[in-house]
Amino acid sequence: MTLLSYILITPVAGAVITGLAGRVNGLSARMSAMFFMLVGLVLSTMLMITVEGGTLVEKHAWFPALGATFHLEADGLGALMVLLTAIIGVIAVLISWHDINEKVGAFHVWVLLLQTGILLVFMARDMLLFYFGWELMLIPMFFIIGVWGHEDKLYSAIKFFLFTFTGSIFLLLALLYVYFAHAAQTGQYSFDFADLLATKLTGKEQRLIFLGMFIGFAVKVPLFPFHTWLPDAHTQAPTAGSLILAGVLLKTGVYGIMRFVFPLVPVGVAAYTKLGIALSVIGIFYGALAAFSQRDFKRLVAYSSISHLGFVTLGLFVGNASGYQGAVLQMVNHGLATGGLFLIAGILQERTHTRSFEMFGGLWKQMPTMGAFLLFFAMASLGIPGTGNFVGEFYVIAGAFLKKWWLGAVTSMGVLFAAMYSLRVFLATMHGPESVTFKKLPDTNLRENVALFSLVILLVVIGFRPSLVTAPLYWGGDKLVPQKGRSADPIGQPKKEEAFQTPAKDPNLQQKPAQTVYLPGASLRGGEAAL
Amino acid sequence: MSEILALMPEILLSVGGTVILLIAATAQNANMRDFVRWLALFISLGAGFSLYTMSQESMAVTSNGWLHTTPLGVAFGVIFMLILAWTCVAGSVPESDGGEWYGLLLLAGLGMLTLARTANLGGLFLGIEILSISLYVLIAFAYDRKLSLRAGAMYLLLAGFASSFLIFGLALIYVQYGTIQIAELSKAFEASMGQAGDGKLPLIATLGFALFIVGVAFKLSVVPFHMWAAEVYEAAPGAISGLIASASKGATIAAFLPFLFIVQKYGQVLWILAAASMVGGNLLGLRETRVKRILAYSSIAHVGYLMVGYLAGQAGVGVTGQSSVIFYVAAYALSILGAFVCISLLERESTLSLRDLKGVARQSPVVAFCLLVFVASLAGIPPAIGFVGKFLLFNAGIGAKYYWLAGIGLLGSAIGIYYYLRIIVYLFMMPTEATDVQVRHTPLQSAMLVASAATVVILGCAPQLVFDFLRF
Repeated sequence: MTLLSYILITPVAGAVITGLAGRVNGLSARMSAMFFMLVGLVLSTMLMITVEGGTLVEKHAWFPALGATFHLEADGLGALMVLLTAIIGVIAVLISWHDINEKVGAFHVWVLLLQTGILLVFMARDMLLFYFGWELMLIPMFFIIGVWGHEDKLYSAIKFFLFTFTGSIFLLLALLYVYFAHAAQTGQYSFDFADLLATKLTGKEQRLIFLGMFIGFAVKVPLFPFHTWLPDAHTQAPTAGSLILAGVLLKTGVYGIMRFVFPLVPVGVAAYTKLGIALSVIGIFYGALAAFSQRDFKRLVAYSSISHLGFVTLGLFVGNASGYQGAVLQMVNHGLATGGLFLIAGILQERTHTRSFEMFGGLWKQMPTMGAFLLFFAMASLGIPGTGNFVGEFYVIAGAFLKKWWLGAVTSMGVLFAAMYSLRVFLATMHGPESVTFKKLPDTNLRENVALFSLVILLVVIGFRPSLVTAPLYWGGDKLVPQKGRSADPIGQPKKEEAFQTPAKDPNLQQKPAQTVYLPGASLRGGEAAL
Repeated sequence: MSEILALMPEILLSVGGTVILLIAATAQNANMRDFVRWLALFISLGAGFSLYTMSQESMAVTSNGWLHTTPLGVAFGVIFMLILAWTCVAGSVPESDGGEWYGLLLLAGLGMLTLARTANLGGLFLGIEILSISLYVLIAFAYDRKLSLRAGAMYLLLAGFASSFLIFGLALIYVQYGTIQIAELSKAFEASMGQAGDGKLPLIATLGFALFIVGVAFKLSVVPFHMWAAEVYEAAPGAISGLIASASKGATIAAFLPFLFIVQKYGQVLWILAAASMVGGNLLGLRETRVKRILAYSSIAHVGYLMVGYLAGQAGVGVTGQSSVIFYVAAYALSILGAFVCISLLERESTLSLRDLKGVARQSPVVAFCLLVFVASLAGIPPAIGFVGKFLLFNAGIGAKYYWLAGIGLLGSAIGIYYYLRIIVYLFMMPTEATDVQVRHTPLQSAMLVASAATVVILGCAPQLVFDFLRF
């Protein structure tokens, strides 16, 4: 037993105890859930410290009949995502304190179970275990939307479930194909990802497997043609649900692409890079335009998520270090900034019982504190320097430039579109003629301020020290990040250069020759200093 | 002596069943009913135990080549006995019962066990008939309900019809090959295929096996032989619906497993039957609003999934198709029995429709939560055991290169998700008016339900335990 299984067990134990506490009263359920979330946060922070510069592995026998093991592993990226999950979990409980008043115990049980599934996805390195976690996320989210959601909750919950479930079937088929190919070649049955990596796959097979896995993950991200479940789910979910959905659930898709698809089927990825880039760019603009035309606060933020995640996948598909670092930065930033916007939408809805922009306007006078927060998150969302989003978007665009200059040029227009909807959120609620309906809304209270302010701090810290997020990418021996076109080092940590060159421990992985190319990424360090 | 020991489970069940029927006929009072229930539980557990402890020496063919002991048969037999024991304790008994219920259950168990252990065609037919005849009565047990009687009569007629197909098929097979031992048949089958030099079967054998498949397909309620399923499941007492879906079908497929050799000739037919069941069952369930009928249609689809594992046979990586079939029978039994018993607790005079599920979560959170676990398991969502079961089946299917079939199955299960979700939605997410749902259950029943729901989750997280326990 290492830290990894403790992190996994905490929410499970939490779910059981919270369920029991929920039978006493709501408050004890909240307290219990909060306690376990905080324990999770402490453990995840410890994990981040433990893992620094390396990886943490844990392996137990699980299902020997199939060759599946209970294999957990955390490298920098994994630890980072686990930490993000823990942070979002704490805030989710905090923000539901007054938002959820019915069946309080059950709500927190589902949130903790959801947390378990997500953590398993981020830590599992056995593909069966991973798929187990992947499917484990469905039912809790289904309940969170379906029971505690808003007007159209049933429709959205079922839509969410059917979309993701169908997507994951393609993922399963692809995984099984690799499993059997591996067994046929070596005579050993194994679901361990490190073993599966050694499978020799022809170009055609790789393309097929890529498509299967890509569909499975893209539905979750969601990439452009698979996105239609997201606006509904986001809009109808309770605040905590939207927060977790935006903060971590969508990231599981990106994480899957990064962790599993790219190393497993490089030829397939190469064959479909153009498709991936095209879908990402379409997503960026489509999401932004659709967001701009929404009248519903949460729906706007939901569409903006599609746009932001377009940046993330674009960063992955341009296939250079700059893009990768940007993608990871954007994953974290989007979780925090969009999470903040959803919190504000939730706070407004709790007070006004509406999300329609037409009902708002001129609220600054009544809620100055919340106005300030909204201003910050709107600015973060459009990528203003000083927030992490700026660095992330910059890196992705730099990566796009490295790929093709015109791609970078087109993509940078996306930032302009982001400004359109971000400003609209702010203007439509805080400025303009004063709302007729709402005259005396109470400003945010201490609990809400704590939740919002913690997000602000994190965004600013990342904005000024992005290496906190990018450096962990290199901890696992540089396996994940493409060597080509990378900036000399993750920004801010030039000393660790030697460490990145250490060959991967995994003999199955062939290290590509390092090509150090100094391109716009390098100049970023200067840019950062200017910040 | 060793032969008696080898036949101990069957002896226990047949003697026990008959004795209970006699007791019920002579003495009818509440105490006696309780006694009989515990007696039946004891006998089924005892039969299971004696089967489980059978040593390797008794693997030899016993009883003039009628029954034999194979790891496969033992695994199936133990599963059936556990199902039987569970049904004795947890199932709600119709009020018209005077104790016969348990006697009939034990006799049905005898039929299942015979099917699991049969070594020849005669045992196969005998097993199916013992099982079916007990089920005719059990289905129509609530004889004061017209629906129940009708369903019993319907099952009697159709199953009798199917039995005649089956026995005619078996007779033709005997005519062609001159043996009823399945092991010898397998060799003779392959020899006869090569005889004419064109790989064709003799006409009589072709006809015989075709009729045999029809008979089996009816028992399994495979599309297009599924017409009876919905009616019977709806009208039968909840526990019996669960028993038909789990043990009766499981026993039939257990008897069908040794006939794996026919796949080389009839593979395409079975492929079509499997695909039709997986798609048809799930599509039929979509528009249904009566809960028991939904589960009936879902059970048609589940047999389709089982057929994928059957077709994979010995192939498959890690876990063979056969092992995955056994695992799935166990997993499915756990879930469907629980689900049907939950529903029978909610049922009143009329059949339970989805709308009646509203407010159950408030009335009885325990039953609602158990039903959630069982339905999730049927749908194949982790951490329930149904997920692992389905995974193993499709795993074996893909391992045996049935790509399209596995694809169709996965697609079918994606369609099927919708009606399972509907059950969950009505249970937990519908606004509740003041409903008059009354959940009547004994403390023992709710304890059993919670225990089996917990088992579903625990075995779903640690599936190796099933393999270690059943040793197949």
